[in-house]
Amino acid sequence: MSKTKSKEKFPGFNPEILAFCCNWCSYAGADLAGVSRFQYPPNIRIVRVMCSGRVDPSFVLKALKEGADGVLITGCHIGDCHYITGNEYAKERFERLHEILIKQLGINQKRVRLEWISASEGKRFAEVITEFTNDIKELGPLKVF
Amino acid sequence: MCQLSKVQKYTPSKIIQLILEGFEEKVLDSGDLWDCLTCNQCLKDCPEDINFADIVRTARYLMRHKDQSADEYIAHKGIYTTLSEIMSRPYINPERNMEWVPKECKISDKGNTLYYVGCLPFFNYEFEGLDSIATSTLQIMYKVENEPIVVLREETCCGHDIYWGQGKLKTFIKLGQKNIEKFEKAGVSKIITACAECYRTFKVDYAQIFEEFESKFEVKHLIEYIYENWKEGNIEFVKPKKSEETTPFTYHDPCRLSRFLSKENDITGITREIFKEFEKLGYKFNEMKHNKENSLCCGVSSWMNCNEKSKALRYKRMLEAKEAGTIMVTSCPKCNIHLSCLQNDFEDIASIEILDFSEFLVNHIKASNQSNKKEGTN
Repeated sequence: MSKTKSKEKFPGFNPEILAFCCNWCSYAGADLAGVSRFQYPPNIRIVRVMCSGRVDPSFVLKALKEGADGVLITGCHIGDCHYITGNEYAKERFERLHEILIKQLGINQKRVRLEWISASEGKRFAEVITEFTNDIKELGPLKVF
Repeated sequence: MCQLSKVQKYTPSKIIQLILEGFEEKVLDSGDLWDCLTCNQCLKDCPEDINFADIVRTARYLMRHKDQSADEYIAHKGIYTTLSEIMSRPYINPERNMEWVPKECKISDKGNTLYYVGCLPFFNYEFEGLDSIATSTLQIMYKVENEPIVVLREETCCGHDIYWGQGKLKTFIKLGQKNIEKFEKAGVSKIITACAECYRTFKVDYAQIFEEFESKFEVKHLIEYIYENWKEGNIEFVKPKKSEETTPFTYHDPCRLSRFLSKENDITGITREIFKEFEKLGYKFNEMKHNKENSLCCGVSSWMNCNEKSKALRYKRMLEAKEAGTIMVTSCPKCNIHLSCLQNDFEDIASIEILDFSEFLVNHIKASNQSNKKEGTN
């Protein structure tokens, strides 16, 4: 344990990550990860939304404003959306948010991420969360005073 | 007469009366003041010079502290105001897009003259074609200035929308301090902006809140800048294409450049003087029915209250513009956004071309000659 700690760039930093999960795929994926007892870091707070298309860019900005270190949006794979095209809208919006707003604010683009996770991918859910948390740990807290 | 009262029941005089009679709490609790456009038309007509917009701004501050949420009144789900708030944080250093800078224009991060771009690069998120305002402004400035113009990559928002729309005074002051720090670091003494809101914020609000801002920095709107250089003989207006036709055009006065400035500040007047010169270049300048200090509101201010009522106001404005000409020039990017947005909804007004002042002038300005150009910068 002490070995891993000394490797960390920001010792004692526990990132706060907000994850938006869609009701039909990703949230069920998170459920499956829990039921199958896959381990993932406890840094995420999940907000369940009916569809990834419900996630407005203003939610992401608000989360960053209120002090989240990272924001993850997850939804069904393209073509699998319960509402047929909801995740396509999410993708389009996300790209604009990522390229135009987050980039120009000078916030590292890695802090905001979009992933597709289906209901059967419990393992992948755990992997994505682990990877994302490690990324954020590497970047350090957003609030540097 | 209150502009909002044309589309909904709204009586500023009654609100003032209630406050004077001691029912201040009642006014604040009712939440009516969230609806105000802060266009300041009532100040223009007021015999007692009551600055209603200032009252509304202070009231909005108090209303937020009474746990009233402004969320349902904020347009675009608060994206742009949230951006300003994020920028006010000390740990955020924006890295703005500089793709709009034309190749022939040299920019630097230290110098005497600053072009304050404002939020234009962020508007690319939803709106198209606004970059050309920044590009044209820089092209115009480049024709006059000899030295590279300062454009800051890490420029922060001026805070206008936060200040007027939601009365967030603390965020506004933080943004102001951040801005002044950056201006001082770049060593600028002259700030040029093409945005009506930024201009008013620097000229009046920053000067009031921050000591020495007025003495340290000289703030000019692009209109003043062009006018002064034209009068000094540094630039002249030319006609790029030879054609016999006269194009009728009109000008929409933004509230921030007319009613919101002190009486000595005659931007509306000098704009007309420039346009009079344009009559020689194959244009015909027509006034709209409501003009100068009486001009109608574009319907939305500070990203607040974009709804069917504001659309009705905008439609009225566009009908006046349609009567007056085929081109409508404005000097506020926000008016430009709000009015062009309406053109998607109504076909009968879609034919009017809405241009920013800089976009309208850029091809008509020529530096008088090289020797003059050098003198102009000294």
